[in-house]
Amino acid sequence: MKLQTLVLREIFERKSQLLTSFLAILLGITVIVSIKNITYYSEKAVAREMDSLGANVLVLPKSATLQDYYAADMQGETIPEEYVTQLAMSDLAGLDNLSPKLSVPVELQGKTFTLTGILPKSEFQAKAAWSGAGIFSRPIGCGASVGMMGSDDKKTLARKRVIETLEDNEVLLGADVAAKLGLKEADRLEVLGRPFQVTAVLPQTGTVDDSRVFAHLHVVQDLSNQGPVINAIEVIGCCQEISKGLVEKINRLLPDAKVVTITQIADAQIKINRMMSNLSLMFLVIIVFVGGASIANYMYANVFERRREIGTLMALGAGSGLVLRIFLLKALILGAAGGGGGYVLGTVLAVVLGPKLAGVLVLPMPVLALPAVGISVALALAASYFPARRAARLDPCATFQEV
Amino acid sequence: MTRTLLSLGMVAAALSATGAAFAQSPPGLRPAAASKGMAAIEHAAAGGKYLFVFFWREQNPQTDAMWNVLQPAMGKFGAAAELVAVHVTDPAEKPIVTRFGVDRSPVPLVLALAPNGAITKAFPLKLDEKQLSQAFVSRGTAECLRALQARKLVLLCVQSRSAYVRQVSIQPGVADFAADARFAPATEIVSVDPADPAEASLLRDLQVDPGAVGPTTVLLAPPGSVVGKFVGAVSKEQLVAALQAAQSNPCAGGKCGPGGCGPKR
Amino acid sequence: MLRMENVSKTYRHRGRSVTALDGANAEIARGDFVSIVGPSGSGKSTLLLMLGGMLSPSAGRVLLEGQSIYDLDANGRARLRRRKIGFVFQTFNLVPYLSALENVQVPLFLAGMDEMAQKDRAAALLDRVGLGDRLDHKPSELSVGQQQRVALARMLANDPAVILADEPTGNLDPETSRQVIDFLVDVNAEGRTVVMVTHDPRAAERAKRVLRLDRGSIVSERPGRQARGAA
Repeated sequence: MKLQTLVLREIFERKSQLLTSFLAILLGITVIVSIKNITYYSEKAVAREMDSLGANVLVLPKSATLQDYYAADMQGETIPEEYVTQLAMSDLAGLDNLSPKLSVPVELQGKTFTLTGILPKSEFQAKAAWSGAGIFSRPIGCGASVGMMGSDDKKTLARKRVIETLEDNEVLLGADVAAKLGLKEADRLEVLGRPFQVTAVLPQTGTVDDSRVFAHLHVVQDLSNQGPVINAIEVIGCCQEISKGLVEKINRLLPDAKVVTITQIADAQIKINRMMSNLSLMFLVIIVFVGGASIANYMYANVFERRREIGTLMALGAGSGLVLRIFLLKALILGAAGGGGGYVLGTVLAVVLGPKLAGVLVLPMPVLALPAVGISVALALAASYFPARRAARLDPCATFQEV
Repeated sequence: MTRTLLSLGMVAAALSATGAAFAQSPPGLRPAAASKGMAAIEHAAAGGKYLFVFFWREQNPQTDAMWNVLQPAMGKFGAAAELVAVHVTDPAEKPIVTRFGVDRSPVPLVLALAPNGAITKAFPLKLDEKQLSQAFVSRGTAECLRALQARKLVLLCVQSRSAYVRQVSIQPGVADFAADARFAPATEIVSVDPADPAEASLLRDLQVDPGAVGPTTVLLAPPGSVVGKFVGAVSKEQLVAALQAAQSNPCAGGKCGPGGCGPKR
Repeated sequence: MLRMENVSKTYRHRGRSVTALDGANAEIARGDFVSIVGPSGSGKSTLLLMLGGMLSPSAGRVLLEGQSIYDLDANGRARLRRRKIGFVFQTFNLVPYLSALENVQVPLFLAGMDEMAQKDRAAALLDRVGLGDRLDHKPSELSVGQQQRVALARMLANDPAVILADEPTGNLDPETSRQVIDFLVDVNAEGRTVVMVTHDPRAAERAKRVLRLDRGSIVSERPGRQARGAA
């Protein structure tokens, strides 16, 4: 006989009474762990996408939301392609690198991917020079286009968002598409009934770009019968110009579009994440109150129910310290089981639901195990302290029927 | 180094390949003048005149407003400029619409073409008379624009020589660069005389001192970025280095994109 | 061995002051077997609790081997019980979720004995009360008589010098009652001091001395049958 035996025997003997408290703490920790886990990976994904997205200004349809900026060009809302020309021809400085996009879902070998039309720079750069002599007086070094042409420039699309040239029969494949379809450079591929040649397989970026097929914008417009429209224009604007009000200027030029900076989008994402962490904080408060109250309530009931047993133990020579330890050990076990179980359940939930809810790959985070168990143990101990103390101070006379 | 030079060569090749589409077509291949617009371009070019091409889709207040500014202005320009209106949905005008990509441009649109075929100004959706006069540019400007619109690099040589001797007096470094097989197809040399008052505004835009002793060379890349500016003698290596620097660092000071004003991480 | 000096106990019940003990004096020698009898509410159990160090008197002293019990703190009294006192209750007070063996182990565990030794001693004690084949049975799986035998085994676990029994036969049939009293007589014969509160006159008669309590005072004292038989 050890203290543990005594406590565990009691727990298993009366486990149904313990169930409510256990579930309260288990579910609370589960929710907190899964929110934390998903939020962490979605933040990481946002940061990575932010980093891989070379653009810092987006021109979107008016009705587009900022909730998920990376899917912003996937919302089916469109703006006319002439906006690109209008931007290119404008005398706004720092607008050389434009990347208009139109995305449509396509099925290839029974798997769904995104076909994204992009406009090679060759097609609108000339129009940028239409702004006439004034172009020479623009600030030097603001998106100088020469630098945007790399040696194997097709692959730089992944990072720089802009491509120099793209023929009508060429496609670029995201890394995942190539891997899933087993395609490599120079292979042939039929998309929406039209033959294409794979010009390049883009390097892995860890973003949705990996599951995209890139083709010429005008080809995508034809294949999807959408006419000269686009979902979004990604712009690499100069910071200096952005701070000088580039966004407002674009807005004035294109009053029917929504112009946002990546910073705004990041802020929107940060707001969501802040909301999620507030939510998990709220859950924490709820489990502290509900879970704590439930545990305290259960413990008081347990002490009351066991007063004869406690009296017997005292008659047999148990000191108040031992009685206190019996109840606190029980709370510790309850907290550890609730926290550990909640961590496991929350992690499973996050890994399973993460891709569906947040569209990101979620991996288990062992680092959450300690706080999960810590919080629930601390809560269980705190909630049980007063009931346990009451037990320790119980009058051993309760053992006897007659006083 | 070899890799970089190779890549620079590829840049030039890419420039020239796509440039062809925007360059003036050789005279023999010009489409039959079924297109009123194409015919007007030919006519103006032949007469050494500017041409304003007015593209419109439907008659509406915006179209009327632009037309009402444009037409009276033509009277003031007199013999210097011609005007043609092109209905973008007219099948006969397809060649000119396609050539300038007007089907995907905001319309109504006015394009100003210099006698050499360079577009010196585009006026989408609205215009005022003052802006119209900006379309008239110097010879040097028009030449630079034409080359840049053909997606070529421009070596602008500012030196006090008359135009007809420039072939013999061109700087050895500039000539070497233009003769390099990697850059030749996509490079054009333009010479201007700093003493020419017509070029004063170009030089001012490029911040070139017209009173400088000796030649100044400006390397321009499409669409109009100043890649390098060299006062005095310039070598081919200096020009290549400037191109390379612009290529590796699109934003001087690294102020674009993430890490610039993108979210800090 | 045990001594009560002018012990009184008053407590308030529904706003009225109730006197449970009123200046009781008693002297119980080592090896004595005392039954305490009296009507309900006469203070029998209060007296037993006081002897066990579980209820402090309002006045007077209780001494065990010359030591004033209530001069010790609560944990000190718990230690005293652990070492010297064995309890038996009318309702046996076995821990319901522990097996017979484990119930007997409890006082041994409280005394800090290691686990293997606990088991050996508990098994030997259960064997002594005739439950050697019921070690792993829970109280609910045992008959009433068997449960009281487990309680008796537990009572002896720490080899106490004093045994305090509160109506040990109250819930038992006559045959089982007789066995329990026999057992108490046996342990008394081993030299242990036994104090037993009982309603059962026949059980009371088996003691060496019978104290009669009425309204908180010891009203009479006479020798029991055991003493008479011996005399």
